[in-house]
Amino acid sequence: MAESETAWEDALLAMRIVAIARHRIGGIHLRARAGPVRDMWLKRFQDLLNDVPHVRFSPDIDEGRLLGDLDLSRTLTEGKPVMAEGLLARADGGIILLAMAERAEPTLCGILAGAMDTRTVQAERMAQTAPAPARFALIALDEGVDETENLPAALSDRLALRVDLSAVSYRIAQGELEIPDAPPIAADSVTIPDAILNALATAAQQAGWESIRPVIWLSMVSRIVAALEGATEVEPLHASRAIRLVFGPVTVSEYEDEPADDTPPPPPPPDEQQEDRDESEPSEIDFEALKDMLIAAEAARTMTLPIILPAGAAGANARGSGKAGAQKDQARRGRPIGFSTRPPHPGAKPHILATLRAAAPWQKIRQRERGETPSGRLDIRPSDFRYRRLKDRTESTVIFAVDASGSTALARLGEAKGAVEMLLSECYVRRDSVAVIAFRGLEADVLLEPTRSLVKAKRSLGRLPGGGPTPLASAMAKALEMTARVMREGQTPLLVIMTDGNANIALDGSMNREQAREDVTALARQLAVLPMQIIMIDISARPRESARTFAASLRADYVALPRTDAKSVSKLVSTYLQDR
Amino acid sequence: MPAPFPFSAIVGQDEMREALLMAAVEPTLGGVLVFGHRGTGKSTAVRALAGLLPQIDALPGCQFNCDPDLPAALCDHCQALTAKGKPKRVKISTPVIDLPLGASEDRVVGSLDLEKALVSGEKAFEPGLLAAANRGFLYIDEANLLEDHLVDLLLDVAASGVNVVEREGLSIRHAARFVLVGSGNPEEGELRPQLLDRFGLSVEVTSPTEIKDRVEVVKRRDAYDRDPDGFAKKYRAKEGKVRNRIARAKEVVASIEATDDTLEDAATLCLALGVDGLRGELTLLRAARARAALDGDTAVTRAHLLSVAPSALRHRLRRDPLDEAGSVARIERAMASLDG
Repeated sequence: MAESETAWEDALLAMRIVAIARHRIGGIHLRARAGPVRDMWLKRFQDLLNDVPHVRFSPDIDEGRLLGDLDLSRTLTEGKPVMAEGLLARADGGIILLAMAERAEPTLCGILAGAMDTRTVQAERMAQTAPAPARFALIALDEGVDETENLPAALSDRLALRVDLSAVSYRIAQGELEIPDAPPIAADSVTIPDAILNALATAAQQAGWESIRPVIWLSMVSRIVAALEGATEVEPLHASRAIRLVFGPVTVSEYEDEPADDTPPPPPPPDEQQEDRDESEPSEIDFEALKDMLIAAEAARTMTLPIILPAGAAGANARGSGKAGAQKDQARRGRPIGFSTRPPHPGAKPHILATLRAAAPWQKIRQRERGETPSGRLDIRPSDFRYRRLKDRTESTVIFAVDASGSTALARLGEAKGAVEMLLSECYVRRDSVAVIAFRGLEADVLLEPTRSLVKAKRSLGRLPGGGPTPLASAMAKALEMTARVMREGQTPLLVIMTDGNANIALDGSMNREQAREDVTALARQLAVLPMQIIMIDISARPRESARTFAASLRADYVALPRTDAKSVSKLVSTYLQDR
Repeated sequence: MPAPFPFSAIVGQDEMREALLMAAVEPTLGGVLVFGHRGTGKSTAVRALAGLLPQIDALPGCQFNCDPDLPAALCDHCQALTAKGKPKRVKISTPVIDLPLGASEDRVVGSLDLEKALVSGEKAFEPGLLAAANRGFLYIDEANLLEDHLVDLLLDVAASGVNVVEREGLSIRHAARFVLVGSGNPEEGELRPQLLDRFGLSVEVTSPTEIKDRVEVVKRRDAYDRDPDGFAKKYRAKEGKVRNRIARAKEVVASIEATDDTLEDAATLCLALGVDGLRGELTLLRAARARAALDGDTAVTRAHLLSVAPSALRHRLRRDPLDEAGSVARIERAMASLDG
């Protein structure tokens, strides 16, 4: 309950901060499902900032509307170009609400990020005109269901504040908590002691933020928090509040699988804090609060979601994947990503509105060429045809589930790693992603979330543990989870399981062979019904019948590769990908 | 519009800053690719550079930034002007044009002039971003996320230096020579190899690791945010120095000599690293010359060569996914062997 209250209090404070700093603070990454609590927050926000424009759109908006484009009907009736103001320019001085922000495509992120950096926007087709001002604060409404479905980092990095409403109960939101009043003094007049700035910079670095932006945000937010309390100088308490607002109660997953890089050691060394204090702070500032926040931030960063799968939840899971299938169908039609003068495939139909827009300027010219008097008839020629380009949704994600148990583990993992890197370096053109799940000991680990980046793969696969028993069931559960997610994102998964098929650890982590086998059978049934290809690579020295049976239960293609090496694995997977 | 963040107020990031300056001094170098994490000042640096570039000569009313000293390549407008006698020249600032990710083909290459077509029924060409960037810089933020069809288009124009538009009675050819500057985060996707190859220099940026540097970044950013113009004023003298350094270097760069020894060094280095083609050597030499010019030296020495080698070659090494050593380490190894 207390947690709920704090979260709501922070959410209201964030609102006030945006009202004070507007575009300078970037905006809020608001994580919440659509629902009454979020509605109440938005309503209050609207009321608080009722004197500025609020513009709301979702990621499928087309670029012309965003940037400003020709107003077709007025252009045709008035006989001169009339531009429709873009939404970004319209939001100048105000707020943009980006609904379903977790689905934002890189192009949209690029446009928004560019506008936020330059604080201007250049209208489409009007390359020669001056850019229009576009100073807005962005409220990204992130409805992501789990840690991995998240606001693209290019955007979240540019938003100072993180608010999570998932823990807020309706009762609290309806309660008496109020938005803090406007500050008695200007935030710009608040000073921040070097010691605190140092501590904040250290905090951000230790929490694994390579980007410098969070530190800038921390400094700005702490000054605003201080100003709200009428303080002319930032105190540690203000700073720790700022840490909570900027880092958020749950941190951005983008950073989760990047453990603080190789250069600085990740665990926050308390001595360094000590040093800071000795160096630059003669008087005693209470760093305890700061340190607590630091530890909390660190804990949140490394927190992983508990796996929710075992037998009882099978129903829920099946439903989940069914839904994913449906969404995928929708995705296969593709998301519009602009227009082209060439048909994307034979027999494609031109897009009527875009074609008219392309034809509009030519009307007078063509009329004159025909020597006719204005008739009001549109003259449309093949060169006007515009085709909608759709985002190609046949991209594949290869999920490797690699058995790292037993004595040959290290070599095997090394080869799997090699195969991943080879696939990534070869498959730029195919735009495929690769993910790796390794299993050994009591549980499977997702070593590499689906990625297209060789750099990221190299880093994540750098340290690979090996040996121990075989939690095959856990690996399959993780694979199932990832598959559902990949499908939800509209990609086609290909699961590659490298194992000898001998499970000896049950889902609950117990050393129960019988239970382990049962779990594996149950999970195999679930995987088998999914519309995806599975390859089972038998890596045991002497292929056995049991592995074949296992493959059959998965309806997987069985391949025995007793001498697994990176080249043959990547070649095998490549042939599967090329067949698509 | 507020003043941009001053170039000289950027903390650290020497390799990136020097690479940008070299590209400004020697346009034939082929531009710069800046790869690094978010929030490391990539875009800030590129946008700040705009204010430091020397002004260029142009003819009044020209939409293509034609170079009056190249009479053969003038656009119709400029040709008409020169036909009437020696036209008065104007100074314009070197263009730095943003190519946004979502740009349409029409906007990039240019299209029918809407105003003229609709109002007077006249067929006229409205230049696009490529024309606007002629003789200047074309900046692509998140270059690795650029749509494939735009990449194709760019590659074509960057190779020929000419933009050709053919549309229903509109037939336009205009010069489009620009310094390509791209930035991006490698973790969000690799850059297409053909595009990678176009960039003369490639630098990798990380944010400062020293707390005191990070704090300094924040303080400057903060001061800038509160009062952009006042902040810019504070750096005016420093900015002037950089501006002069570029201008001076630009004047002398063509006259800088490279001895046979340095040519041999460059060849040895490229050979040792297995860099394909001559482009690597050429870039290495041009970069070293620009470097010498910026340093106020009159000839290229091995020191210049070595200081630019990582930027000039890092993205040209053949990819070996199983080689753990990064490209920089490999270059350093090869550089060390030069001395031996």
